[in-house]
Amino acid sequence: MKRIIVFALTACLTASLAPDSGHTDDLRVISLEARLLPREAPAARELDILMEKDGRLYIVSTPRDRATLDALGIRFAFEPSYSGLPAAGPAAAGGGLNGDYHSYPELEAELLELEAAYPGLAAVHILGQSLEGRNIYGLKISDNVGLDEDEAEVLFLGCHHAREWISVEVPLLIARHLLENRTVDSRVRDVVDRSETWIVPLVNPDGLEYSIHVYRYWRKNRRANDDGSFGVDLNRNYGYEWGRDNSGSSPLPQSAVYRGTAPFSEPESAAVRDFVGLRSFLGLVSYHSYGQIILYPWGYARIPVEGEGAERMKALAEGMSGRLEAYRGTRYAFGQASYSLYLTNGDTTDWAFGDHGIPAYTIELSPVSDQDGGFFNAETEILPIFYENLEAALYLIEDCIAVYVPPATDGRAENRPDNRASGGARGGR
Amino acid sequence: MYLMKTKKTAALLGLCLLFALGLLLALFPSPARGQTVMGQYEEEAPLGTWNLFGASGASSLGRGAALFAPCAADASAIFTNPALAARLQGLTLSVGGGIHSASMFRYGPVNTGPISSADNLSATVFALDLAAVTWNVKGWVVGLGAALTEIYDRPYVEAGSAAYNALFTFSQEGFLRVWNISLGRELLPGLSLGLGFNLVSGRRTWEMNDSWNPPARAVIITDERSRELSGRFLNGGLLWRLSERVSLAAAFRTAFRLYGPSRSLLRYRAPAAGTDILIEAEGEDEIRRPGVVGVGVSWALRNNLKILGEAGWWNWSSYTATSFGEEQPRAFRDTWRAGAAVEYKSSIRLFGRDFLIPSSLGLIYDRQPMENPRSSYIGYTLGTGIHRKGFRLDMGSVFGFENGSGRRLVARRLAVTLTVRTRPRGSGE
Repeated sequence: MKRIIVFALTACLTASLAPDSGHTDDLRVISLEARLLPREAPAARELDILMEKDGRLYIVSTPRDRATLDALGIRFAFEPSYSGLPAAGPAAAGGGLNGDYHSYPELEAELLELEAAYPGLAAVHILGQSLEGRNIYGLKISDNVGLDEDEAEVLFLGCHHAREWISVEVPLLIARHLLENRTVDSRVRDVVDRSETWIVPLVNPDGLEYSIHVYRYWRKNRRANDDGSFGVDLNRNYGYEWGRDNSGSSPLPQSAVYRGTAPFSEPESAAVRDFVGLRSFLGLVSYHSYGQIILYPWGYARIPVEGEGAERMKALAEGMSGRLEAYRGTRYAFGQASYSLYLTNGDTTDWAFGDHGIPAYTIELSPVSDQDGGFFNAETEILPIFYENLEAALYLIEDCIAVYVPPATDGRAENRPDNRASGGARGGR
Repeated sequence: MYLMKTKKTAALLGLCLLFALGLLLALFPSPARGQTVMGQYEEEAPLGTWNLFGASGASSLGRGAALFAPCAADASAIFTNPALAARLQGLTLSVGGGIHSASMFRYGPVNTGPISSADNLSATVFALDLAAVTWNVKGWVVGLGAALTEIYDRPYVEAGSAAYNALFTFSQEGFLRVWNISLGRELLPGLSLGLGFNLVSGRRTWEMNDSWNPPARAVIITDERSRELSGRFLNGGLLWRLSERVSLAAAFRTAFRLYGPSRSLLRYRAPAAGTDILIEAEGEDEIRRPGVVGVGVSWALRNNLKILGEAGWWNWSSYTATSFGEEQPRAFRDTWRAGAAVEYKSSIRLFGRDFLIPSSLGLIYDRQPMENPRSSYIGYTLGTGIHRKGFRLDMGSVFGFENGSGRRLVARRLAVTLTVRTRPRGSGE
């Protein structure tokens, strides 16, 4: 019966979305923890409650409702999948060979658009250049974005592997969501104001362009190897336990998991290394596909990860998995990489945790198998995959905020000098 | 008289030295350079040399693949310099065909990533490649013609692994035709001018198929693209008979755009699982072909012995190309090409009739426009034929050896042109 009510109400909401209704932007479905707002509370009686599910209340809210909840200090989240209302539509890419997926020029344009649209909240930085001279962009999202504040820092990386097009979209959409919803979603505002979130959606721009224009299933970067083959696997080129054995990576240039001639031999991985070295991240996610699994260190050997930060890292993985599944039931397994999947050495997460102590995750996005599409995701799946990962990303950021301990000395610091792409000088683009 | 003989001897000796130098250059290729770029064969590269200009019949081909030299032997002159056609009397009809062949090493997915070959691969096209008619009416010469001006075919590749039930295939083909209408006239004694209007149309298709797994779990990826091409440009030139034995010519072609709709279909199928994912794209593409200017000279040493020389310049630095709306990186430079040839005419008597047998030998130096790797073709041409009154059967060939990529690419063309004239042609060329 409840389900019928939900569908009927959703249908009514949808039906009311005639183009000239003039009120569609006011109504939004939100959810909040049910324990924060008992049904008998006076504030609850004023609200249009759709249902309660899994400990959360789903409410059709007006701006006044949301302001009331804000005033009461009750956190809520927007639920576009339940509303039938047009979500603050993340801009699709400009079409082209890769459809709604972003190519390098499209991503570059969109990052600069976000920076221009949200001054003070978004800043584009250039972390380095690829082999073929393309910029590796990082988008910083925070209030007072021009300052390095004493706030928790979190990093989301995408597209180490060229054919994993969805791994560009998810971090980019996370960035867009944070910026677009900061003024209407108290939870997002809290995340943005109390953290410095960095989004690097495209670590391997050369490989992506080759994957789009020449061979869809390309994985590596575009290094011309001495034997005439091309490419180094960027996710085997990081320095921690690089080249430990030939099970977790390959010394053969023609291999899909070729580790390169030396740790950080590739400018793309070196750019990430140099960038991370300048900051103090409390969490790191590197998006990949496919497999629907959350992996954490160690990948280089089948030895249990222990020590400082290990327990928190494992707990976060379990928490993210649960939140991923809560969206639409998509099960993301989780576990230590070497036990859950296969051995890898020289990968991003082992290096982030081993060298910097950062709880780091490889999230292999949907689907599960090549029978369901493998590295191909239908364009219609971009947003659902993003939304199911959004909650996990917010959860990670919030945990980083919770554990963050400011340095002993107070005060704000001006931005450390680095290669900013925004404003006046636009070198290297 | 002695001085004239000395000059002629010097000219012949000079030609011999040039041939010898060319032979040396062709035999000793420059060292290979490492490259992460396609080199000679971008997707839109024509088969053989980039430096194309109109179309030429077998007689011009055999004489140093002449494009600018004043040596109009048949109606195909309208495609390069209509002023040369002004010397043709009566009605002249030429049809020709032949073989276009070139070797290549790096193109599409071949030797750029997924597919490698130890040796160069060749593409060969048989085509009826020109038909033209000129009609001299009271000194005005009107020309009409159609010719094959560019070929985009690539060697078909098929690679597989029985162990993985894997099969990969790639093919590309295409062409560009030119349709010409031109007008020429001898305006002053010894000075002719001509102008042509040209429409070009063609297409290019690309298909890649990748499949693996046993039939019960087969995965099939198809990448199909097609582009329609059209454009227009002017060509023209002058012919100046300095004396009975020496003529000068100059010709030009305006820069032009090849543009038209492009379509692609990227498809992923796993039939056993019912998975069928499509990414379709449409776009409008544009390729800018350069302007060309060139000059040529012919010197009749004797009535039956002539030498020719020419040089042309292509404005490739202005070159741009888009693919589904995205500009592609093309680092091209302005470039030039030069050629020289010698022709000797002898006569034979067959079946009680006198026939003229021309024999020609030519040399070309043809610098290619890519900045990296820098390369050039050195070509040798051979020509012969059989002429009697208003009938000509000409055969010409060119063999070009590439120098610079380290792969010793070869481009070949063999042409046959049949020309029929309603009246004997005027004296000299």
